[in-house]
Amino acid sequence: MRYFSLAAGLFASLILLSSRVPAQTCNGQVSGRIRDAHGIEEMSFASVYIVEQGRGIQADETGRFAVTQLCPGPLTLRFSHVGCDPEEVSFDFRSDTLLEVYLHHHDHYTQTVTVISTAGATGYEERLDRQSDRQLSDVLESINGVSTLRTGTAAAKPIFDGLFGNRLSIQNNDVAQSGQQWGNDHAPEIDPWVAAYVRVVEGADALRYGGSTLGPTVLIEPAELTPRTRSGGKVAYGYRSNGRGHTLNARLTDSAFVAYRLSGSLKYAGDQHTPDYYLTNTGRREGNLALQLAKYLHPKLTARAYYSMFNAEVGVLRGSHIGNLSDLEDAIGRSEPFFTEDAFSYGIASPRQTVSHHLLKGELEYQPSEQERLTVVYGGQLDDRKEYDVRRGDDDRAALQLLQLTHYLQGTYRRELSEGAQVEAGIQLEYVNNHNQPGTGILPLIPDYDARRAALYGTFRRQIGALRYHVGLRLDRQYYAPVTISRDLPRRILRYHHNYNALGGAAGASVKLSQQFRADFEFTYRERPPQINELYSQGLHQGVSGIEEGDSSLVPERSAKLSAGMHYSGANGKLTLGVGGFYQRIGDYINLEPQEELRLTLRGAFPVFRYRGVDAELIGAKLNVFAQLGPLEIDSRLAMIRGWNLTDATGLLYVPPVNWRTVLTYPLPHGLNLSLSGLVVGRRGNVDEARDLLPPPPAYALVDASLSRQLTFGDRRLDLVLEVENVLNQTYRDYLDRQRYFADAPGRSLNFRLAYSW
Amino acid sequence: MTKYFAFVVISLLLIAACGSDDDPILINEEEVITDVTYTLSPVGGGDAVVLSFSDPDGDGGTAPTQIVSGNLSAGTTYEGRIQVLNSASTPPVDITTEIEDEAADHQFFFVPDPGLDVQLTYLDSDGNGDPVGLRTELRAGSFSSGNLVIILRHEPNKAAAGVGISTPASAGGETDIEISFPVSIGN
Repeated sequence: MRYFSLAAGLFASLILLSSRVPAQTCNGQVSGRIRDAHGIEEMSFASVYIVEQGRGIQADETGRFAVTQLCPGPLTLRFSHVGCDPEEVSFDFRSDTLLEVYLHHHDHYTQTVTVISTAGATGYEERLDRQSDRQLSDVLESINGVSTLRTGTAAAKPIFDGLFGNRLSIQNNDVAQSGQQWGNDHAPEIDPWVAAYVRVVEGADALRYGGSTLGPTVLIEPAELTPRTRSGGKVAYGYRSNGRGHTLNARLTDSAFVAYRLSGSLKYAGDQHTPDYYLTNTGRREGNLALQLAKYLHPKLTARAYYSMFNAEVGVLRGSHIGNLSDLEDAIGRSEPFFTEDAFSYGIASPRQTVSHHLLKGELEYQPSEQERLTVVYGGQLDDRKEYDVRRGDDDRAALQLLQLTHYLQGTYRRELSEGAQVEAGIQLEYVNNHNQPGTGILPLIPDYDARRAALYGTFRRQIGALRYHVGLRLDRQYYAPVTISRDLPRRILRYHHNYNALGGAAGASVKLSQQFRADFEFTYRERPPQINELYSQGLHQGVSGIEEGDSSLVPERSAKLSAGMHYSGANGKLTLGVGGFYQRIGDYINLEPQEELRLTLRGAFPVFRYRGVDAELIGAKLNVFAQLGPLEIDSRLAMIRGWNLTDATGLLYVPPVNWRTVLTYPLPHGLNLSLSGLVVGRRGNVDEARDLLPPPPAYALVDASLSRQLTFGDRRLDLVLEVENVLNQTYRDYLDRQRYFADAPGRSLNFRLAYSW
Repeated sequence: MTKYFAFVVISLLLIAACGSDDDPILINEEEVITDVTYTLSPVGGGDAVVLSFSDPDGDGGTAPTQIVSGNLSAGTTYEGRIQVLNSASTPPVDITTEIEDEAADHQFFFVPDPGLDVQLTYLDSDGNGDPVGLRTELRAGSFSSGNLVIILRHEPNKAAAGVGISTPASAGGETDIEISFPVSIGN
């Protein structure tokens, strides 16, 4: 035991502190407090689920909880928190009990974490597992403030608080995801099945992460292996009627001479269907594998390794592939897209993309004492992406063929000072080599390049009574060496060099005003060096039918963001309310703008889009409500954002419209759980309609319904879920979907999912 | 600790000072179309009118050159032939033969401005009996002028309703060529 508790200092234990008044009937109470394994941090808003009664409550901001109306007899409580391995405790409940619960907390985050976990019947990890047949970005949409920028059914990228792509970094298992920084039709190459936690961090918490960002960072993490991780496994099969998609997932956790977890997924789907027609060539194949290893070498030393492989072949709607502006004009406003077939097909033809992404991570964690932790991480990534266009001659030759190799090295030092204070510092080095593989017969859109980045950061956190504050600083130095090919004849190789410095800083505080109320403030300043596509992209972008030209004289973006929020949490955890707002001002915001000139080419005249630095502004507000009305659970989130280009006095592109998401969960007899969810998306206002080919689509509402049942056989569990997406078979187009010019969004889908875990 | 950080930063900056020595391979741009020539020869004999467009370095770089060799004669019927070249590839490739080989996947369209008095008809067909447009007949009517737009569509729906030599809209497909030539009909 000593070995384990010291090994990582990350144990979870449960202490029955005292027993009081005997409970006669069903009015017993279990109350207590949930803290992290070190006993330092309170697990705010952790979930407590009463297995026997099929209901859950949420702890308050300080991690306190009270479960009331308990009957004497066997009682199983499940404690979970975002970023923690859930803990379950069973005992024979006789009298009112006070519990002190310690959860292994994955990391130290302050209140800027956008928590998506609330109390409820379904555990956090289980909720993610149920979405493993979706794309990662769809899973992220359950976080308030996150929307999705789509390219039809082919690719989906997250948008948080109006930022996406180069302004929103994605960390896969603490390593900045490579290969997806440019091009909005490239989805992050991550399998949601591997992830146990997804969340968005900002401000001081985000300073420790690399990658291109203007503040926020999306974290995608598997459940950490700890000395206490139990062996077990899960297999799941899912079917979706829309696209006739099959998904098979498996996960196995065990310990041999190392602790390990092996996960794999297979997906096979064909053409999706709108309420009126098939979306021809929108099939998808995926085969993913991940292996996680941990070895507790010494009480003070732990080694971890992680390898994941993501392979996908994705069809792109045939009718969205166009040659020039007249094609686009012909395609707009048709009742159904060109090339629409009457029959379903699993086939994937050009245009299509194949991508293969590998991530290898090694981590060494050294804890010289209970208060100190030193971590060294290496992350290597290989991203092999091929895009196939409809071409004259050989369709099997890729039009774009990129190989990107990334090496990343990070050292972190963390120390707990006395009195709930903590410092952390780190250094990061990154090397990227991007190489256009020969054989496409087309001049590349993105040049070959080498990039190097060095970064330093430091943060300090402290809690004094009701006040908790944190400050942090980050410095980045970014170097690029692109190798381009001249556009005029004779073709020549042109080499360039760029160096940028970027500064980041954040300060924030959280004040507990009373037992129920908390106020949060955060100020973040970040600079973002331009990325290679903004500096050097050169060529025709099929999707927008425009020629895109980078500008090598761009300077880093500078952003200042101020956010504030209030949080209310009822004493019994039955009602929590959160309201927040932010204001972000960005100088030299790198904006892709249509130019006055039209470029004459053999395929007609094309609009030219260039990157230019403008002054921009984003304003947003968010509202979260979680309530329990008897057995009914209500979880409702509203997000509003506005974005302005102040230089030109127009709206910014791809700022999400108002969206409001509500989930109602109600337990039915026989262990069934009914869940209804509604999504209302407003019409995007504040856009310069003259600059777009079509005005933003009208508002729409979608309803989903699901019925789930959990059967328990001792340690084994069977989960059955029946779900209908887009119940009303609503025809709609989404403003954030770049294929909205061509086709409607998919219609109703009847999904079935079966999962067995042990 | 500070010393260690400083050391790593300095060594990284040293590494960063040297660039990559691998040159990218200069791609042989095999599928690009750089030159389009539409030669209109009077059916009864006489001087041909040539409409040509040339952009040897492709999109961007140096601007393309576009030449119309002369005016069409009113009341004259011409036989038109199209030649398509890729001069960016070494050696240059005659794309016309590629189009002939994949005739079913290609169709040329000729769209005159309403003010330009010309009438066009197809003179060729693919294996399915649908038109291709490498050979056409052009009848020049009365004195007039305006643009003649030559379009090549890849994978069009040749059978779609409303598709004709001057009405490509409902054919769909992808545009490989779209050039607008200023044409005048005179003596």
